Amino acid sequence: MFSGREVEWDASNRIWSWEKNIVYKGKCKDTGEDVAVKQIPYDSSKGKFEGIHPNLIREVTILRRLSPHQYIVQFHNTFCVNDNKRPLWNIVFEYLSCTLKQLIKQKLDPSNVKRLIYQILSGVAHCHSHSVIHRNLNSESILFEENSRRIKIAGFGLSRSCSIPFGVEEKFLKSYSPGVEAADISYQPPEFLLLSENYSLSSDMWSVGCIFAEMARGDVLFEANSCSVSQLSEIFSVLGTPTEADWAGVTSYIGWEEELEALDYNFTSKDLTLEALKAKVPALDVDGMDLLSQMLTYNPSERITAKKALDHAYFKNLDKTEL
Amino acid sequence: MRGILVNWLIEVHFKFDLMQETLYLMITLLDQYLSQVPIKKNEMQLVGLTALLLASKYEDFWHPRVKELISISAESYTRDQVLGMERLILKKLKFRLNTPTPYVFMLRFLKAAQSDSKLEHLAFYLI
Repeated sequence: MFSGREVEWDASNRIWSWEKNIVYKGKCKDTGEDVAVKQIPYDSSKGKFEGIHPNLIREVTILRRLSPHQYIVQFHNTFCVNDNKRPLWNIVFEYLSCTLKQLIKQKLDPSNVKRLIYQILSGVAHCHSHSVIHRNLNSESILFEENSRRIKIAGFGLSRSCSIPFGVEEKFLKSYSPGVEAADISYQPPEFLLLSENYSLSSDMWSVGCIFAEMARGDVLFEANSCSVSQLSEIFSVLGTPTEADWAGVTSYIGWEEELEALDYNFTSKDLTLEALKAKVPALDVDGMDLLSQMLTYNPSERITAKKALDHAYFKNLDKTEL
Repeated sequence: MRGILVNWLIEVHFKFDLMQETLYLMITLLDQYLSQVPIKKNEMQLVGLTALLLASKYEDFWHPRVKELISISAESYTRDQVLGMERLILKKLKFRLNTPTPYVFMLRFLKAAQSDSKLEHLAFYLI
């Protein structure tokens, strides 16, 4: 509809689905190039169509702004088809066969971990420089291109662009969080889980930290739990229970429950926390551990930014010409 | 005519209790569309309502239902007309809803000026 490129796909070739959103593998009729087609039905309420789904509007707007970029999935076009009078919107992306999760299963050696996390950080820094919060970074929303050996960030369905966070309107800040419940809980930062309004670009960096650890240890860092309280206690068991000194105001967030207070994971010093984390990720060297702990910092305003992380000592010996 | 429409849209926006950002985005979308497409006089309100729908879908976490928008315009348009207009606007603007609005700049300036609430109210009144 937008660029006139004809695309065909086979309904049996489903690669991914989530609720009513389905991704098919397709082909461009003109060039024969493989593409991924993501189908999103019309938004509806009480059986009546409400038009194009807000998430789709955001995803397309954001991708139009972010791509092309070497670490962001290439967006081609978007068009609408009618399936039995049900309008279906389609977004066409480049096709990538492998997710980061599949790659991690094959075990990564330390030099590859370093190269990949550098690429992920570059991609995230690109999003952040355009004021886009991804909100759903995990090992399945990051894809891998085997030819160029590059990662591509995808899955912008829950993303939002944010202007300058501003303290006047409570409502303004709150509006950033709805929708994230759908994101993968293992990668959610504590400020989401605690339902804090202190929510900004740094939230993505927590997720990057989880992905970094996952690549280094070959498995998810924080197993997914069914509710936010048990997810928080899983995090606290590794990193210690945050205190007011670590993160001012933490105990007054809506999601903070007495149950969490009772958990006795108080590590007395920063070294002890580092040791506990080290036990989880033994494959990382000293610089890697330092970077990881700066990503998994409780206080969002003290967490390292993507841009700063790229200059971290951990990447000193990385050959940046071969990314 | 644009003035009358915008005045009315501001009232509608207020009634639905939407975010400030939505209001400015709505007007930006409306102006961009009107500057590209000649429309009939009786479609003016339809374009305005659809701009409101799109802006709130993009910016807010909640958007007014199409039915409510139709009833607020005294049933002048049908659901199909609104949804059709939604597609037309998106197509015409090529899904670029992330245009900077005066609101964003004002937020930045006010922050830089370390303003108090009196100055903020005055500033938002003026834009």
